[in-house]
Amino acid sequence: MALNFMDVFYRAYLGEPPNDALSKSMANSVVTQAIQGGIAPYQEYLLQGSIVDTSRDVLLHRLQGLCDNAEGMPQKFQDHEMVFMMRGNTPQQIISFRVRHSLHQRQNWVLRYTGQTEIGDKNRQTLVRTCCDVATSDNVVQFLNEMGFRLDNEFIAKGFFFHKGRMRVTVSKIYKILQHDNLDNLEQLTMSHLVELSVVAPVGQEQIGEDMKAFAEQLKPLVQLDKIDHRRLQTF
Amino acid sequence: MNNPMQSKEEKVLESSIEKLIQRVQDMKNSLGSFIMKLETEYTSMTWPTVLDNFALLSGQLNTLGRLLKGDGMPTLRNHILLPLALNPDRDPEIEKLTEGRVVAFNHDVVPDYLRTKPEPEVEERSQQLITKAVTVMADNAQKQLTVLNKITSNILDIINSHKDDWESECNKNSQQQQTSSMNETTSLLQATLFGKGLKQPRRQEPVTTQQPPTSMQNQTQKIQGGAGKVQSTVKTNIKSGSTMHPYQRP
Amino acid sequence: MAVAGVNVSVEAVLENQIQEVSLDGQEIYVPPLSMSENLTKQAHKIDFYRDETEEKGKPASEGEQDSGEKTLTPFQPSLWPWDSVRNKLKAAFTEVSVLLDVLNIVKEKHYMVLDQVSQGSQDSMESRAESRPGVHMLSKKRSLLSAANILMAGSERLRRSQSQAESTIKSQSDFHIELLKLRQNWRLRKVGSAILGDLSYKSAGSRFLQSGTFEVVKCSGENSIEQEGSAPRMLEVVIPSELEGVAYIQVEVKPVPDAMDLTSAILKMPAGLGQVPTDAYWQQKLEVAQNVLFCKELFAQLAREAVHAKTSSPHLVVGNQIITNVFPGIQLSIVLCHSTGKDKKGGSGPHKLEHNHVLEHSLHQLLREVHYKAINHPPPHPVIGTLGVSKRRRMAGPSGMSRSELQQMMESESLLEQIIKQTRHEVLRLRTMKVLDRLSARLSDPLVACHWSCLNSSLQSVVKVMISSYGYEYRMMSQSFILMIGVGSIKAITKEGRTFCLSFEGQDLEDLVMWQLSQHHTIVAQTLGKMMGWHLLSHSGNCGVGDMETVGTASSIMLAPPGHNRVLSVKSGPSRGMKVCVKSLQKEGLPSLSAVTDPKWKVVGGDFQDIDLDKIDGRNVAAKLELLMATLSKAEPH
Repeated sequence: MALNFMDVFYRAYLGEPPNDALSKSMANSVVTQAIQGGIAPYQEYLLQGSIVDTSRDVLLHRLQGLCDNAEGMPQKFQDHEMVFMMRGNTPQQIISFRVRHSLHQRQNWVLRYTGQTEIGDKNRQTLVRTCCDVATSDNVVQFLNEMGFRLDNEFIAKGFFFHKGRMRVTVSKIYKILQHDNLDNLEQLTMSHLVELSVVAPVGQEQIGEDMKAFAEQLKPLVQLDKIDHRRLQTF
Repeated sequence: MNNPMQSKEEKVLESSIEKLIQRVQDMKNSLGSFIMKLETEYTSMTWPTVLDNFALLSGQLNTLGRLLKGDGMPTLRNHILLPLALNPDRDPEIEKLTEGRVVAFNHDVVPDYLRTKPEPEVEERSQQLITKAVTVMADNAQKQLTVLNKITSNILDIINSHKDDWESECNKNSQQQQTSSMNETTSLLQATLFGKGLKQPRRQEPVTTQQPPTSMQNQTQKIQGGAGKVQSTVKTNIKSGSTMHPYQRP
Repeated sequence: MAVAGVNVSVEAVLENQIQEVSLDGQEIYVPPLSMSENLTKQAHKIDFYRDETEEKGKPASEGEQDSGEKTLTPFQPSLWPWDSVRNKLKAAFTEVSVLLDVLNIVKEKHYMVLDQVSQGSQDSMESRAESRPGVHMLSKKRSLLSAANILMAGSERLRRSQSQAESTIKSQSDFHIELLKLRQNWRLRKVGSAILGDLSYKSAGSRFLQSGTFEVVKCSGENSIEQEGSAPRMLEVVIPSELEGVAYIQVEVKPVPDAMDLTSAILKMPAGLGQVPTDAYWQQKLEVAQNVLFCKELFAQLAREAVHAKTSSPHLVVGNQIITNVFPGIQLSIVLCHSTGKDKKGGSGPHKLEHNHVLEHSLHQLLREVHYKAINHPPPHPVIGTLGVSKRRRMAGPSGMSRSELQQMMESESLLEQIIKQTRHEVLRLRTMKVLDRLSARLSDPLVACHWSCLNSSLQSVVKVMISSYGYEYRMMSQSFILMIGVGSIKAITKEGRTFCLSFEGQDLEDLVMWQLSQHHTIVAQTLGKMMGWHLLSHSGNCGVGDMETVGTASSIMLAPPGHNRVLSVKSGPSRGMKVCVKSLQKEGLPSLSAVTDPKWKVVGGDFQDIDLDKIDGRNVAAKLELLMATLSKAEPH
């Protein structure tokens, strides 16, 4: 699955027509639809913010009260994310994939492709970007390397996960990896936790933005979840 | 020699009167508006607005008092009001000046206006005070005065320290509310999205080799940007042409 | 600042005029003026206002009329609450206006100027007095005193109202306090002027459509419900009519009645069962209503599953009852009992109901589990993974799972299936228990003892059955086997490691126990022989000779005493019972042959003689055997 998916993307990116046999075999696959239609059928709705470390527990308590998995301790996660990039003939043609795997359940790897983030107008409550998540096996890194992708950067995200309905809330601390092959030698990047509220939904479900906005409002004085223009951030 | 001094003093007097007029005018206006409000809006008026109005008045009284006690104010006690002329006829100027309250500066009005006695009840109260003060021995009064001063200054200290406490507490509260910072959000997002600050030093080599392309990228972008405009105009020309062209039609 | 929009009515003080209205609303009164003073004062004002209104005309005209009236009838109580305040303000307005006029005129220097005079010593006594610090002090003191009075009065008033509030809270419940308590336990929201609450399990993961909206009502003082011995309550909840009354799920496991009458299936409603008193506390009311909703959801779910289930024996859903067969002849009925308490038919006596608490509890638990799973997803790892997917499902893609494997993963048991399974297990366990109890009561030799494991699940339990002879429990290892009671069958594991699968019929188990008992006798004989130094000649657990057993097989053992001069044979079968024979050897029976090397072969042969065990002393077979063997090993062959 992952290989097929990659192949289609790769061909699209190289400007080659998709392999016929391959595309036929994937006739029903959402990915083919995505390539043919020019859009990935799934979109991620996103709101982002941050909370300083000292106030993190307050936020966690509030989230526990607001979210569905309220019983027991907040669920922890620890992920390692690697960003792979490939530059094409022209400099604009940069394609990047994110590989994330869990350090709690080490066999779980996810390859993620995200499209350009749309900020939209005022009526739109959240950032929207096309998004494609594929569960893969652990040799995805090797595969990407052999394809010509190169590791651009990597980090560790440790934090807490909540959900309310299909809304996903993560409160995560981002760590820099000091030594490439040692995932325990870490250095925190900032004194804050990144807070993200996201929903991955099929295209055209704009009303989810309202729900997310309402949810973000309830966290308000504590953390400001906003749609933050990623293009503006790019100029550093 | 004396004349310039005189004129200077007069100037000071004039300017201070000017200021006084201003303050009194303010006070009169707010009084008037308050009365108006009471009379017209008493059904919808709330207690807080009444209090606000009173607070405004008391503030204005305070500023007036401060002005009178202030340095720039000549000792008004040393001045008397000296009527110069009485005129039984209507004087439009004075009418205008007093907003129509005084039509003429005549015999009828002046005694009223120049009365030096305070209002009866005020007079009564001050009289009471004076008589009482006379009965108290001078040194006794002095003693009481110092004691009173001490007490008031003590109380003032206590109140001020409490005020400071409150304010610092308020500040602390407002500081606590600072639970997130935009800068941190930005740097976190820049890191997760573009890898800012995350790239390995070891990996600097490819980055430096990629440096020229990125600069080239800028250049090409610029060129393209320039050319793009030209292109676009050409394109639209062609487009408009093509739409007219029968070739495109089915 | 105080909350805006609160109208404060300030009563006019009729007796005295207000000297000052402080910022907190406290009024300081002036001693009443004498008539003449009052008149001069009012007259002064009138003069002024006439002056103003003549020229300006407009806005103050009303006020002028007011004050005009006031002068004429100064003691008439005013209808307007702000009168005293307004009068004061007007007086101040007058003074300020005069001051302003004078200042303006002075400034013009046409009619009047400010002329400086040298400050002579001819100061009046008054001004001298004024300049004295004593007067200042006194005036300040007085002002401070008045300010202090205002503050004290204010604090006193606050204190009084607080203590009053406290006492009212103690003596009678306040609506808002009650509301606060309600809010701590229930979801409330305000819709318009009404306060609505939600007692449904939706926030806990339920997807039942019926709403559990209730309304919170404030009881006004008169119709608040008086209760003996307690304060009247100020808060009442209005529960939707469909959730009124008491409901519960009743589970019965019973033998199928001979003639199934479907009309009787519509349940006899236990009348007057657990009615909620109308004056119950709201917490109790809400809890009961919530339970009604829960039971309804549970029953609706079960009924839906019963209708959709594709089984060989269809489930029956009739009215408020679901009937299904768990075993041939045994049916499970699940009934939703909901008594609204409205149709009182009088007490039909206490209803004796044979219902199954355990299964009822399980049903509740199962639905709660469904709810829990609806909102508690396993956390995705890594965290960007798909939500609400199990760990195995997440690995399905990378590990290339087949369609059937995926389908297998999707399968889940319905509530009904689960409860049927539990019922089966329960029935089976009870049956096993009964069989074992009956056997152990019936049989005194050997003894049957059961050890039930205290740790069991709702689908499996284990019992260890020990067979022993009285008085020989410790000297001889007793026969034992383990029964693992599952959903539809019982697995028996004997001591030697053989496993048997038994059906749900009780007879199977009884046969097994009887067979094990029969085996026990031979084992006793063997153990006794070993202890007395006998030789085991042969032992067969499944002896093929002799009369056929109706069930199982007989076991036999042959033993020889140390002198080898006899052979004891014991045969024990589950249905035929026990048979003990002894063969004495006649020495003269056979001619001596050179081929016979060992003298024991000379004594082969001979006839077995039956031994009537009943005639031998001893309280049980083991004792009798012991006695027999003891005599046989001693006695010289005749």
